[in-house]
This record gives sequence, C-alpha cells and structure tokens, in this order.
Amino acid sequence: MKRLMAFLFSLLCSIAASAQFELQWNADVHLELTTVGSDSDYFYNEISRRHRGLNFDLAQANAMATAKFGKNWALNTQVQIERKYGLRAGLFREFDFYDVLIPRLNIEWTANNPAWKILAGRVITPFGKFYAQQNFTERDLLQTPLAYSYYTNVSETVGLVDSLGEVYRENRDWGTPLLYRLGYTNGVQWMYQLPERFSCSVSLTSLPPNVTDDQLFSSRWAVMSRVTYKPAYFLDLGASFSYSPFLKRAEWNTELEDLSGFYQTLAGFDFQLGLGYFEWSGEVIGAWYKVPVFKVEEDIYAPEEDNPIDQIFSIAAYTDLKYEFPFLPGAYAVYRFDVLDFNKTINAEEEEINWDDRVVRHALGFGYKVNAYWDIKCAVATQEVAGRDWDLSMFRLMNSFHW
Amino acid sequence: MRYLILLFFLAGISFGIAQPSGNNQVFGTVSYPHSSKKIKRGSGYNKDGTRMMHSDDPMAHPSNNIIVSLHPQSFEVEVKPMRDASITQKEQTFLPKVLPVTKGTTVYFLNEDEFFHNIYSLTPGSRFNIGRRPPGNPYPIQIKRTGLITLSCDIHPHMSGTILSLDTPYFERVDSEGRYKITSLPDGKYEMRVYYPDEKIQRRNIQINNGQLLEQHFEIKP
Repeated sequence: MKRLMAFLFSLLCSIAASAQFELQWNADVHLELTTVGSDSDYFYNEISRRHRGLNFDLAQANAMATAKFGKNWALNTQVQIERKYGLRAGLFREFDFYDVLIPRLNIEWTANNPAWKILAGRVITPFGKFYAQQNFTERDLLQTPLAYSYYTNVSETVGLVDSLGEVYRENRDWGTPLLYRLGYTNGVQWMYQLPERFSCSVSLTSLPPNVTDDQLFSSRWAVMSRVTYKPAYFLDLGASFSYSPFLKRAEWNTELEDLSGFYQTLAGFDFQLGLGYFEWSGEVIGAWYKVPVFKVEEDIYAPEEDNPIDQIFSIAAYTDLKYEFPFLPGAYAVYRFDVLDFNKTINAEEEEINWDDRVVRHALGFGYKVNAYWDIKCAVATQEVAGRDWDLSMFRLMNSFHW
Repeated sequence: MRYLILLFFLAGISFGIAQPSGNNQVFGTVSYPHSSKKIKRGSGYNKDGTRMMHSDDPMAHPSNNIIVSLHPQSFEVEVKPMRDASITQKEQTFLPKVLPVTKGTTVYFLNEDEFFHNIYSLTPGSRFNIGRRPPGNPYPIQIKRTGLITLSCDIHPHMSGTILSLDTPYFERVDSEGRYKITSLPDGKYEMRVYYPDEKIQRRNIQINNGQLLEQHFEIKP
C-alpha cells in the first residue's frame, strides 16, 4: 500500500513538474449591506427577517482552481462559503450560519476533437440558464430567480402538504424550490459543444435538481439534458429537461412502500437577445410532480384513490431587461419581472385550491465595475404572495472583490 | 517669389525644430520564456464546462506582442496620432494581443466573428464601453492617455487585450525571431522600455550620438 501511495505521489509530482501542467486559480469575496421586510425569510427571498435594520456581513466567498494535465485532462475544484438561513451561530452574529460547500470537484476529459467533453464528480447542475450563476460575480441582479429559491409546498420527505412552511417550520422541512439555487450535484456529464453555435449535454446525477443534499450515491438519481442553439448572432436559445424520483425515506413516510413512483419532471426554455447596450433575456420552467398528499390534521397520507389530482404542476418565468450606460462605462441597470404559479388541487377540506400561493416579484438593480477586481451592485425588490399580507421587500448593496 | 522661397525656408527651420531628425540606430534582441506560466490567475469563465475558442493566429501569442520603445529624455519630440490602427476580435481572441499606438490615435475595433462581441476598458483615464457589436462594423475609439489600456469582452470574459499608448514615435514590435531595429533616431538620451504581455515593463537608460549603431539585448523573466 505504501509503495502504491509513493508511486501515485511521484506520478502526480512528475505530472505537475512537466511542461504540460498548468494551474489556474480565482477567488472572490462578497460583502453585503442589507435591509429587509418584516416577513423576509431565507426560504422565500433568500434573506432572514433577522436582517431588518442595516446589516453588513459576508454573503459568500469562493476559491476556485483548475489544474490542467496536458491537452486532455483537467481537475476542477471550488470551495464556497455561503450564508444560510440563520439557525445556528455564525461568523459575525449568532443567528447566521455559514455552510462550507464544495460545488465543484470533478475530473474533466476533453477529446482530441475538443467538441467532446466528459465531466465526472461534483458538477454544476446542468439545467437551465441560471445554473452557472452560483457566484454573485456572475449575477446582474443579486437575487436568484424564484424558480431557484422560493421553497414550495412539496417536501422531499413528506410530499405535498398544504401551507408546509407554517406547519413544519421547526421540525421537518420547508419544502423544495423547483431547482436548488446553489445548483450543484454529483454525476457524470457528457457534452458536445460547437462554441457560439450549438451545444448539447446529457447528465446522469445522483440527486434530483430540487434538493439540497450532497449524497454521492442515492436511489434518487436524475437524468438531465440541455441543448443550446444560436440561430443568429444576436439571439441565444436554450432548452432543458430533467426527470428524477425525488422523495427520500424518512421516519414519517414509512406508510409509503415504494418511493420511486413519486417523481419530478422539469422542462425549461430560455433565451437571450442582445443589441448595442441592451440585453433582454428570460427563462420559463415548468415542473410536474407526482407526489403523495399528506393530510396534516389527520397525520396520514391520503389514499391514492382519494387523490385524483396527484399530478401537480408549477410554472416559473422571469425576464430580465438590462441596459449598460454608454456614458458611464462599467455601469448598468437591470429590471426583472419574476412569477411563480401553481395549478389547482384538492385540499383536506375537499376544496379545489392552488397547491401553493402565486408569487410575483419585481426587482431593480444597478451595478458598477470599479476596476477589474471590484464590482458594486445594488438591488431593490418587492415580492407579493397571493393571499398573504407579507412584507418581503429587500434592499441589498454588495461589494464584490475578485482575483 | 522671394517671399515664397523665404516662407518655405522658415517652414523648413520650424519643422526641423519640432521634429529632430537623426541617423542613430538601436537594435538587438529580446529573449522570452517559451512556455507559459504554470500557475496563473484564470478567467473563472468555463466553470460549467463551457468550451472557449482560442485563435492560432501568431498575433495572439505573447512572443509576437513584445514592444520596444525609446522615450527621449534630453529633447522634446512631436507625437502625432497614427492612422489605420485597428484591433480585430476573431475566434474569441483580440488580434493583435497588444497594439502599440501614439497618444491621440483613433483605434478601430472590428468584430470578425459570427457572433456578438463587446469591448470595454476600466483603465482610469480611458474607460469606455462600446456595447454589443455585430460582426463587420468597425467602431472607433480615440485613445486620450498614455500607458497600458486593458481591453475586455463582457460576453467572453476569458478575452483580454492591451493597447500600449506611447508618448513617443520611436517604437517597434519585436519580430518572430526576437529581433528589433529602430532607426532614424536623433542624438540624445533615451529611456528604453520593453513590454511583454502580463509582465512588468523593463526599463534601461541609453545615450546615442553621431550616427551610432547601439546594440541592446533584453531577457524577459516571468
């Protein structure tokens, strides 16, 4: 064993010392000043209501590296510190906590014909337009779209529960977003790319795209695919698809014998249109679920024959309009209209209602690149949840430093 | 007719004062590393596996973008804007990677790809953003300051280029063999500068007189 380790170590050293080795590194730190409405919540608008008043703290930090070994092989890594929802002691105040995540740790193989590529390991979820914007550096607006951050009434351990966030706030969970906003998963990703013309990727991952777990192996595998096409120099189009069983075993769902029959299917379409100083982009994501319906009052699952509507559907759409100021180089303004809606189902009282509340968000942001290492971004947003008198407004001012 | 001759004579004198002429020559070589840095700042761009394009054009390679310049220290020299200065964007690459110009020159940016490019500079004193530009239409920007002006593309963050704006008409791009030769230099003291992409500028003081042929060699050490 020692000989094998010594051999591997010497092999790695010799590769690193060879002319073919190259290490590229980047790092970024994002410091944020926030003030939010009285009903703000990590699960609704990404910021805890405890951030009322003016708060200054670390929102995110990343360290990234790519080690290239010759023409064909590369190792990609990223370590991320991310502010979470405030249930544990944190760095700067007792109610924030910071997760240390590894969004990327994968081996990349590129064929001699560089159009073909395979990634294996921890990869960025290959669904949708926004998935590559985990880092604040890449976001024009600071918020992620509702599809990626608003937790709906579908839980990965319970199923569909009416008003899930209020019922299981403390002891179970808050549900899931359509897509998890930090967007990473484990799996194998195959890609074919003709830059600026066409790309296609198919991935087999160990987890569905809407959950936050980081299991290397699970029975909740997912298959995801994405196709992009540029029909004209000013227009980018993309389409994504995902299918996965998403329910995981927990002590309170033993009533359900087979969890593999409950699944989430996602389909998305996105576009980007640019001209001069304008950019118009958007994305529509449809989510279909087959879920068990849990009756909270009786603490049992509804029998399947009593649930004619076990196929539930949600749709999320957002559009961004961005303008770069030609008279102030490095500055831009961006507006986003974001909506999340749900189809109707039957609740415990046999009423036909939407299975979650429609959400509408308006967001306006400004950004300024001070220099190659420093960006300033500012965003204000209002968010309305149908039937709720919640104040989910927010103001965020972020200084991003990147190397 | 006499007045006309006198006018031409005076014009000749004044031109001679503003633009000193000479027959000195500085030549030599610049040696440079043949392999790129093993550890460097990345673009952070293709973290999702996006494939990037890189041009194989020789003008994309750092070795073809070494600029030698001579800056007079003992006399004033008139610096005129250059004509026909341009930078092309092709295969997601700025060509040339470094463009030397004199201050006041108008540089034309041309997109020769089949998709959008943008060019912006955040260099203090020369900040600009030409927005998204379709293929084919050259876009002019006047360079109003001296020094290094860094160019980026907002759409393809791995692209980077440089305009080297100079306060002297005496400069040359080093050839593919690493040689340079700057001729017609007036007598006097100069500061020699050698710029290699992404490295510190090397400086050296020299003096040339009476039709001198001065040999100067430089070595770039990353």
